[in-house]
Amino acid sequence: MTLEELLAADPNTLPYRLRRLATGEVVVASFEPSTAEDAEESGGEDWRGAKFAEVWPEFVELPGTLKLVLAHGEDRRIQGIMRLGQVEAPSCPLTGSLLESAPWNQEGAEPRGYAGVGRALVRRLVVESLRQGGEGSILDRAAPGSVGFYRALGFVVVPPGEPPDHVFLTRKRAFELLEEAWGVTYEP
Amino acid sequence: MSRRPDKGDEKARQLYDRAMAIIDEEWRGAGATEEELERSRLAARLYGAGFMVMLRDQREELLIPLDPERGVLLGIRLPEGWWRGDLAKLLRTGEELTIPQLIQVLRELEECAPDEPVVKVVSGSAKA
Repeated sequence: MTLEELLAADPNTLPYRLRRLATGEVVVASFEPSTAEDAEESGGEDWRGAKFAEVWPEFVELPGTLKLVLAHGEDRRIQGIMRLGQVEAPSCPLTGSLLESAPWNQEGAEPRGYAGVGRALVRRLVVESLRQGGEGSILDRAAPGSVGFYRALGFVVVPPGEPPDHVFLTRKRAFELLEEAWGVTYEP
Repeated sequence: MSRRPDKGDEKARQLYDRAMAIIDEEWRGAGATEEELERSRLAARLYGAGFMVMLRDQREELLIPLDPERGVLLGIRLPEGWWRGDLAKLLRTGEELTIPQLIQVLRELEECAPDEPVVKVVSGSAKA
């Protein structure tokens, strides 16, 4: 897929692949705008262990909040949820995003459902950065327990030497994530 | 580019602030001081506005926020005003300087302002 093709496609229905850990099966997921009807699920028992459990039930009814669900099959649970940030000026990073995998998909969950949810959320942010006129770069805040996740995806901690509070995905690393998933290459 | 603000944006901002407060609390629990958290917020505002310099070599990639009001890189202090003029173009988001390139830039600055300290590490671990 070329960059032009990527940007012309619906960013929510690109093939976001997850792996069902119980079987090893690869499944395709897609993003959908969340609605007020998702408040019950995101505020329910299954999401009680989520870091941002208190805000998701209110975020779901706002434009710019997306849920990741399996594209096929009967499992319609929200596998991950995110709030899209914004690119404030050309070439600036996407900032102000919030994302979280469902508690049963997070590292350490037992049994853990799907692998690759966090990576899918970040890829959607990279595409959003490009669609808003950015270069694919992302600036996020990381909680202490999330720094390892971000680093594994290629984010760097900024500023160097400070407490690892903010994490930054460079344009180069952003495109590596796109190439890994869809073959989109980096063209500086 | 940016959407026009509406009532939903205000609610979204409030919810986002609540989420950030959750992260703040976790960092405090991990031992971060209020000064560190405030410095981190400043750095984020600068990054978000595109003020940063990226240093790269073969092993690592460092990003340092630039504060245009005070003429400092957070992590490296530079002579006042050095970021103005032609060299400012090196400090836009996405520009990638190798560490040798940065050192060359610093040498050029030293020639322009020999009476000023060219570089002073005030915090952080930048390797320039």
